[in-house]
Amino acid sequence: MSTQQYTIVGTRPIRHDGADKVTGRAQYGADFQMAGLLFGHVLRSPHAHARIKRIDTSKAEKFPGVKAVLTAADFPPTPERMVDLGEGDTPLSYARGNVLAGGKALYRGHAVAAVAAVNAHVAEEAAGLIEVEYEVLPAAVDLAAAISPGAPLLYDDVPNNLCCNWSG
Amino acid sequence: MHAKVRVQTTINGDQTEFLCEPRQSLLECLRDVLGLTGTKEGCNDGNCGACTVMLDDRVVTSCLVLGVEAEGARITTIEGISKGNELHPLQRSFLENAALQCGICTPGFIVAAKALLDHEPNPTEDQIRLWLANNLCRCTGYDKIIHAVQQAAAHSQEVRA
Repeated sequence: MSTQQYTIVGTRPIRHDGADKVTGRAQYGADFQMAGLLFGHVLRSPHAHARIKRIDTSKAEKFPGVKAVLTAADFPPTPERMVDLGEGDTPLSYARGNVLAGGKALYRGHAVAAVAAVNAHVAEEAAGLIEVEYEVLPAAVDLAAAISPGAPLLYDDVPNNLCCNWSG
Repeated sequence: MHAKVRVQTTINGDQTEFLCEPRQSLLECLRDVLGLTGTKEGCNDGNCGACTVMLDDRVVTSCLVLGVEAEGARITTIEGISKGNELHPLQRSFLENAALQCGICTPGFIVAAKALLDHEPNPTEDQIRLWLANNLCRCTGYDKIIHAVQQAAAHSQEVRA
């Protein structure tokens, strides 16, 4: 083992941001406020698998303090191509569908609509005024059920819910 | 939007007046209305302890207290723990024991630990662990935090002796 002494390695320095952190002076992202800052709230699917038959955002849009309400219908058409978003190639349409559900909610908690408003309370209250009509579909909630014959399909063009076969 | 309520309170020894909506939590009032952002929001439902402050002589999670409940009360936050530029023994021992990393839980731990030492200057390890059970840390782990509180308690004993 090396007996060499280093100026930093092997010592126990006090962390350089420590004093700010133990006094509450450290500034984190959430500690900043800017003029015109808006707050978001996301409305999510309560169902594991459901067709979205209708979304009515009109009451939320009229709610005082709301600046924007978005659903998948607000996105432009997505070209069919593969994109690398950091976890390997993904069809752009799937990536877009994961941002806001279009057509179907594919899991419980799938984002269905988003509200931007002057504060978090207004955004949450307005999200509660969005009317979503779901047709609840059968769901597979574990791997074995999802690949068993006759399992409900998430995507019509993906037989057996199989994303890929991999052997190594 | 709801009509705002005027609240008169004392924060870290300063008489303070602020306006808040009746539904706003004390945490929101401290951070968003008064700019005292040392108190952190973790879970916003009373489980994590990041927003711990003193309300009179009680340790509270400020996300579960309404701003209007501060009327006439004395609030102590992390910003009120050190004396000017002189760190409280707990703040020093947290630094010396590397009892923090990201630092989001740290203000809550220090406010809660100070309440313990004010109430019981020489706590056992079990007492410290039980007292701090309401505060969650997701990076440092708890041993260094417990050691920091033990060291601060020992230091205070020496000063007193």
